[in-house]
Amino acid sequence: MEKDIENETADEEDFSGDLRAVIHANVFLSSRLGDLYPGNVLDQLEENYSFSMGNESSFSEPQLTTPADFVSANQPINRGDDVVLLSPSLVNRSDVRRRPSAVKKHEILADMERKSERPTKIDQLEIHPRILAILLKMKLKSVRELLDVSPIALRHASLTGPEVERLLLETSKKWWSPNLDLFTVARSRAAPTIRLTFGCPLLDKLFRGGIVVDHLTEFAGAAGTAKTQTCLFLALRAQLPVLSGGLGGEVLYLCTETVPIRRLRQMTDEMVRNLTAAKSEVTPSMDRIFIENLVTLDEVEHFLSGRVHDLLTRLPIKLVIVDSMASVFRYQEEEKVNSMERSARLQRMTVILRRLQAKYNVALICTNQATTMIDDAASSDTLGDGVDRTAPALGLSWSNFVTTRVMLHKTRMEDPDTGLAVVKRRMKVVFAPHLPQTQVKFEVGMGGLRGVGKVEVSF
Amino acid sequence: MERDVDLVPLRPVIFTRLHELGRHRIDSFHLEDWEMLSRELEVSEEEAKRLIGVISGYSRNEVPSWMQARTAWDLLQEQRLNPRMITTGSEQLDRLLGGGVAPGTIVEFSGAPGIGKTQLCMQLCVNVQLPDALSGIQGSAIYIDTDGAFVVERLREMAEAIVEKCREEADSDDTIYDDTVRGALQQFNVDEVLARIFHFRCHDYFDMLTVVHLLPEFAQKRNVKLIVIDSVASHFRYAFEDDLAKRARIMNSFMQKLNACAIENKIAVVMTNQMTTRVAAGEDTRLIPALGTNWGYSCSVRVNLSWRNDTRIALLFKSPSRGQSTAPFIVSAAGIRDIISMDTLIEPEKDREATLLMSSLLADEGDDSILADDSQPVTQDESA
Repeated sequence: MEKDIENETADEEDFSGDLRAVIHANVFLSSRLGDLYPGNVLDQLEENYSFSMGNESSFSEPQLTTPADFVSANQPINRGDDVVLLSPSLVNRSDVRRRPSAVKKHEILADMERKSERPTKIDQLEIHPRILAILLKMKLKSVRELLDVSPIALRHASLTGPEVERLLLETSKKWWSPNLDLFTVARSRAAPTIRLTFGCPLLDKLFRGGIVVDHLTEFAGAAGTAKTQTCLFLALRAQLPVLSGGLGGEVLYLCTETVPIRRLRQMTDEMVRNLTAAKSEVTPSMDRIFIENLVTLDEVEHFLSGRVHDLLTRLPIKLVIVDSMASVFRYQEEEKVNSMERSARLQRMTVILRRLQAKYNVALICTNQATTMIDDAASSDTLGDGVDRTAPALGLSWSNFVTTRVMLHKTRMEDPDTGLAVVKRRMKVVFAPHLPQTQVKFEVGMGGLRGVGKVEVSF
Repeated sequence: MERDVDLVPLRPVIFTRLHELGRHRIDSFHLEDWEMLSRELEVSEEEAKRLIGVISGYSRNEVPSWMQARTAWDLLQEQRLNPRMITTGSEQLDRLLGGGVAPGTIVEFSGAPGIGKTQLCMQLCVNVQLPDALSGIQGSAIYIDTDGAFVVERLREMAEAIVEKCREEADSDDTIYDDTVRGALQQFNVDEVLARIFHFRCHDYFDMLTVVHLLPEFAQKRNVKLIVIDSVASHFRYAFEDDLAKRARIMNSFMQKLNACAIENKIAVVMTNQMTTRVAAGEDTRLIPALGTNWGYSCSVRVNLSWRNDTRIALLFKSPSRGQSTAPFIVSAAGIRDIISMDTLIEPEKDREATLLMSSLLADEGDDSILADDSQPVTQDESA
């Protein structure tokens, strides 16, 4: 909560003070704000930060065509700064030009609300009536249809070359920055990339912070390597507030095998006990994990085409777990499943999941089975773990879809001193755009996962 | 003033084709592009040159460039004066590519997941910004991100490594650098580097199409010298259900617009592609780049990345000017670098593995069928 110290007349309605404003940042801002991602800045900022007006000098150049112009013309934005984005109509108002803080809070919010959605219909675009008439005569209604149509068809409908080019250019601009053509930057506070953390320094170090929301993170391993334990653990962690390393929301858990309710209860109780001891305010609960038991591929496809949208719209779900993707595609003994058909359905599944993730901005975690490689097949090496001789199931098209692949290993050894069997577990990053190939030993306790030893380079 | 090709009395077939290509601005035709044009219009070299001459004649009242009798020698000289390429970070990889990634070309990097395609993309986005003093292009970059692989923290690591190298150069006792240049090198900092990489997160092909429409204006304003598409396969492979004709049309339109912008503004385009399994009767299954052979024609340079034992190898298998060869490289904490102490540039004749790989990469398999069997049979659970 920050007060704008430069604004003397701290009027209740003024923009100064601890305003929690809804901000849309467009793509041009992203690179200037360091770790801030475009498009979904909204959620992150609203949750954690407050905004206030900047000093007068930042409003000296309102005649800018893109946000980036402003940024380079004035002071650079740094971490710790506050940002306000205003539309031209506000910026050009004489009282605002004189004194930026004259803009009222409700005016800004109203400004943001308007045109906050990407244009879907052609008539939402600001096109010359003559051109609009031509497009409607071509039976084009949605913006997507316009983008789908070939420019030649537009030329044949008697639009000139430059008109076509300008139409596509303006449409594309609106597509990417729907609400603001100009903006005025006061100062900005860049939010770090939101990650789902393990709450354990070693595991978080392995993931360089935690699981990235924008990725598909896969945990693959043979039976008994703690894949489900990991999922349960992360389903609880996700409920913690963002500032505590969680995602601040609820969880959708698609389970293809028997739901381990008792273990979930046990883990929840233990985690709550630990967090309460640490005086944490929010604790996870089983009530915030929505479990769907789906066994066959048909059931999963059906769920993902219907009910899932209902759930994701109504509930503040921030994490979707599929445990396990491999069993959904397992060979059905009853019917002979055509492998070509299965392949096509797997590919379609990746499209559906991708769309889901884009639309609802949820983190996506899947588990996969791993099998031991029998031969030296070179292609297996590229997908799995050459050293440990295991490869994840589901093949190449699935692997192409996975952003971060983590393999879980378990070895059973006999302790030379006691003669008892000792289980050693390892979590290993196989590939990720942001992580080196490292691994760490871990153990599964009552309250979840915990790293052991240190993070080491894996070969 | 923009003058449209409409003004020129061209044959309707040529006119239509030019528009499909997105080439309808008179002043975008240059003699050097005759090769590209003759290929795209499927006309002979003479016809292409004549066409360019005629079209240029309609632009303002300048003497068309072809009348200035530029010979191949002139072009070579021009090339020598402007040899600036984007370095990959690995000298061997650069040498494989003939100096680096060249502006105005479209380069494809294909490979299995985890081989380092995204790493290479991020590295190039940093390296394109290298200052003039270090033979850099000093341009900005656009990163079209289809899978969310663009993670700023990793990019920051790479930028830090490069900035440090620049600072070392600046601080060295080498007297080639005068004070202004030295100052410029010292100014080169991580925040500036990150600020000049424009990230477009694309969730479907509409996002990609709209970015390409925005490109020309954006590229000129921001001095963009590199466009990275990571990956071009993600949104084009499965999104069209069975409508392959539509997919071909949309992809062509996309590539042509991209190509036009790249050539006109001397921008390098780098695309990553996925691998797919090729199942041929009576043969072993092989991995080949996705999107089909027709797609392959859109790129002037094609490189395949793969593992050979524990080493990453780049194999150049299509290039307008170079023979085919291989180069090893590593992905370190600092980014893409050379591998230390290894046999370099093994000649393909002696490199049997590379020959085998090459023949499978160049195998003709037609369009990328959606039904290509990419899934291994899923096995049952292992008993505990």
